[in-house]
Amino acid sequence: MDDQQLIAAVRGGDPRAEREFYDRFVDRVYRLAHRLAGDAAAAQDYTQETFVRAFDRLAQFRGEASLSTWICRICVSVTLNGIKARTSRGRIEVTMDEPPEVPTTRREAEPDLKTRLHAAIDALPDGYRTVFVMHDVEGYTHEEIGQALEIQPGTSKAQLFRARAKLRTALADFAGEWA
Amino acid sequence: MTEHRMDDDMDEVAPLDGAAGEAARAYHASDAPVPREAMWAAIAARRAAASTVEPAAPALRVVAGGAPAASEATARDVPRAFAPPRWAYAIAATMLLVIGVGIGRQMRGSIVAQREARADSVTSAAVWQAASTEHFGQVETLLTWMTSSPEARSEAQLAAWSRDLLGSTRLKLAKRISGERAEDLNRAATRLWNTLECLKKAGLSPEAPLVLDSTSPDGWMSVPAGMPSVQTQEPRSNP
Repeated sequence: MDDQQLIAAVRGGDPRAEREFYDRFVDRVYRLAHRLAGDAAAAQDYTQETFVRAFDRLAQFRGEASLSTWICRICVSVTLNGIKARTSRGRIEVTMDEPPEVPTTRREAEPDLKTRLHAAIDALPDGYRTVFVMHDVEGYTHEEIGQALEIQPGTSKAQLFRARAKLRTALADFAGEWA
Repeated sequence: MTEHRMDDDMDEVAPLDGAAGEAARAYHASDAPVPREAMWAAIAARRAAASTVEPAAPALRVVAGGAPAASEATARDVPRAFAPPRWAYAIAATMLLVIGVGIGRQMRGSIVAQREARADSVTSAAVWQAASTEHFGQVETLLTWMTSSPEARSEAQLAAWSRDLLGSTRLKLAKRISGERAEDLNRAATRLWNTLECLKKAGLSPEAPLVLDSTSPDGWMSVPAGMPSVQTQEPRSNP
């Protein structure tokens, strides 16, 4: 069953088609949500929300992008909005409960490469981080990213370069190991 | 996944490679299998819940006075006096549970005494159990009906259920309550249904004469049935 047939069957209320639709995309959606959210429970929430919205809005799907890209767009939107909401709540809690951490320059406290890189990715602006994760980690093309994020492929490329540059700067201490 | 990379000509900032590339690919990686079934169940539940609050869905219709005798009534004979929205059933179920349990517990002692005076062979515990079973059975029936498919919600079922809940006499009282309180007839009928269930649960006859005693602007209403009096309140909840 190709995408068009699947869409028609889901719109017709066929429960088997709905399940096939889910099975076809759930791994990709969950993996992307997990990469962006960094938390299994949150990834499950965002995946569920993505499919609920996808089923609700399937009638509005016009085929301008592939079905896969369309559902990916929903996933990114749901996930980034969810992260934003959680982050704002988290900031309030930190402000109330404990003072912000003061950066340390102690050499023995230096994290290893992976930890430091992940912290640097976390610290990227949302747009850079999303493009970096989708392209360099998950392997999406700039065209797919452009359609999913509703930006031009050129913008996706530019954000990826900036993200990589920031990460290289953040990992300067490890340059000898990976440059 | 990668069908055709478009950054082959972009050497300005090369991708991370080596150890850094590996570290990047491990970013927020999920080692555990995708919880497909759990998420599918949650999605199905959410979609089912959303579909039960569609405003266009069929609603319960209760006879509002002048109804034919129960033995003669058919689905087509039942006047469609009002169509309660679906949230009314949720409210009804909540009221039924909260008020029924509360009143039932409060009156349990006095009912035991009454029953002993009547030398009833049935123990209070048995009556309590029977009333509770019937009570929750009706709630289950109601909730099952609410969540059933539109095809399953036949007019005949609705008519039968309505007659079981409130007879024509009670419906007249519901209309009176509706007028006194300036509230929808479905809400007034729901209050009365709860009142009758409370009486049954307390071991009293549901046929006991009911009197509209008092109403208050904050939503409380007092309905005495002889000595015991049932207080009803409509809880508000955000959708």
